[in-house]
Amino acid sequence: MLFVLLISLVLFDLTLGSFSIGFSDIFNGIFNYDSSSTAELTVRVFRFPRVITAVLAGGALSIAGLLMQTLFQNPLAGPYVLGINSGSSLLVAISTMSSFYIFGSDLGIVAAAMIGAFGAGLFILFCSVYVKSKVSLLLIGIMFGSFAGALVSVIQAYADPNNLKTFMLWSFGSLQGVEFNQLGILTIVVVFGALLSVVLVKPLNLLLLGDKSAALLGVNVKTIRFLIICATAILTGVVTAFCGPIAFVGLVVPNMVKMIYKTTNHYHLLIGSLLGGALLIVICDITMQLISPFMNLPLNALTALVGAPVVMWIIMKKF
Amino acid sequence: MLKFQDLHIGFSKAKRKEERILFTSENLTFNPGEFVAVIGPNGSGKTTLFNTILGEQNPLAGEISIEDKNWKNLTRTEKAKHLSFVPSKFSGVDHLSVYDLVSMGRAPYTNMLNKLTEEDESIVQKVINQLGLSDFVNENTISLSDGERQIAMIGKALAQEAGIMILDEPTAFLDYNNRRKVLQLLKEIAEKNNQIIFISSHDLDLCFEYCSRVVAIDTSSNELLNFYSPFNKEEIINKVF
Repeated sequence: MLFVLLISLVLFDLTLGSFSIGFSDIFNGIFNYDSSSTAELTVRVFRFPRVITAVLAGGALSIAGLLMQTLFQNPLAGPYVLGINSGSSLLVAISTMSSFYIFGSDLGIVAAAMIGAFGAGLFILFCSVYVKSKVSLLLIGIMFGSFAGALVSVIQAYADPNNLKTFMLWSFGSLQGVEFNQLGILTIVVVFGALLSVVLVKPLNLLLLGDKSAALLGVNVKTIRFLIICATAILTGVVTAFCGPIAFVGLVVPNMVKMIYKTTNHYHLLIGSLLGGALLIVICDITMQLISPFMNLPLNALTALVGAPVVMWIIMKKF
Repeated sequence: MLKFQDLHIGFSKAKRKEERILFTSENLTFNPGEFVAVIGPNGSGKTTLFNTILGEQNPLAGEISIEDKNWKNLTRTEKAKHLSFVPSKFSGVDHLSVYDLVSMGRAPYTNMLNKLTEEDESIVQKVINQLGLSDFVNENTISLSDGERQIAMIGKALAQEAGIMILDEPTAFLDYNNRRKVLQLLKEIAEKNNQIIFISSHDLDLCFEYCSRVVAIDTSSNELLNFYSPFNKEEIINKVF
């Protein structure tokens, strides 16, 4: 049902933009491209990448959020709160605004963002060994985020104005930055991350009973934790590289999915998060397109508008 | 069948600054159907003994063997088929139903996606009937009472079909009636399923009443003492505490 809803909203979203486009042009633009038609060109160059990016980004971030929530046994965990996005941002800032051109290309930025996410993930995992309280761990994640943010500011102070502008636009979060030929990288990486998560379904289910019980049911807890961090870094990193740090999606969607599905089986939760996350970002995109004649909202503002109240509601309910 | 051979239990240097032996044990054999209570003062090493049997830490010396296989050479999944564990406190997981909890016990036998086969499902169903859990199979594990949750957790361990079940202070958080109920249940399971069941407990009277064997950690001589039912309560208590 979610799937049908998602497909219809995706199609609806494709028609939206600075002018509306009929379904036949959309079909032709994707499968039967003719560059002389303005409508088909717009679909091919702007809308199709935008909408597919929305789907992939939402799905990827929500799966990452689900993985974090299970790993840390904390409904408020997510790539953004734990500072994993910030780790990505920091390395992307270094690669776009400094003279280290090792990360200059598309793939370079993806790699930088993943390394950043992975580093931040390992840091949080390391802290979780010593910090037993769930709330303290979240605070450490937020502090790590601020710290990385401060480093980014330092880099910005020394940056070339052009690079600075690129970085600032990136940091607002946007679905428009992905070009048709970059979609391939994004798709492959997200699919890989999602498949890695599917392989982890059984240990994820068992981790809910606690580390010791999981280990005694045959789970190699250390390896699994490491793999969970890898999957999170891959998913968060690639989305952050292309779309900027998108807040709250990874936190909100898995919680909603758990409420709707009422299960702890991660096989269902993963699929639910994938669809739900895609749905949420597509809805955000539709909203942005519909209000764009009046004002231009950055994606991050919109996700925070939806996300922050949900977070407060979870805190009131569970803590 | 579980065997201790010349076992030295304690902390190795990796865990603490100095190696520390808590107690030693002569050669002991535990047979299927025995319901064993491990008793001893706080800090005497009950949990350490359990962790050693569970393979969470290594003995300082000596060997543990199960069905004549050396414990160290088994993989995690193989161990999980021989040995099941119930922690003293499980507070439940939101949206986890009793049925799903019990079926987690089948994890060492299922494929990567944790899909239950018909055989797995019939075992889970059998366990649920045996423990009288059929009224709350679909209940959320956080909304159960402590006693019901403890029994559901025992169900998970039973579904594991392991020859040995270890319960760390299973009665610590239960009221008087539930303590009796859980111990009676464990006694029946040990006899009926021919399993070895270990519990640690401070409820000495209840242990003497229900268990068929008591293993006591004597902190003055640092040895593991072995008693069979019927117990001479005063002798044991005087020796150990």
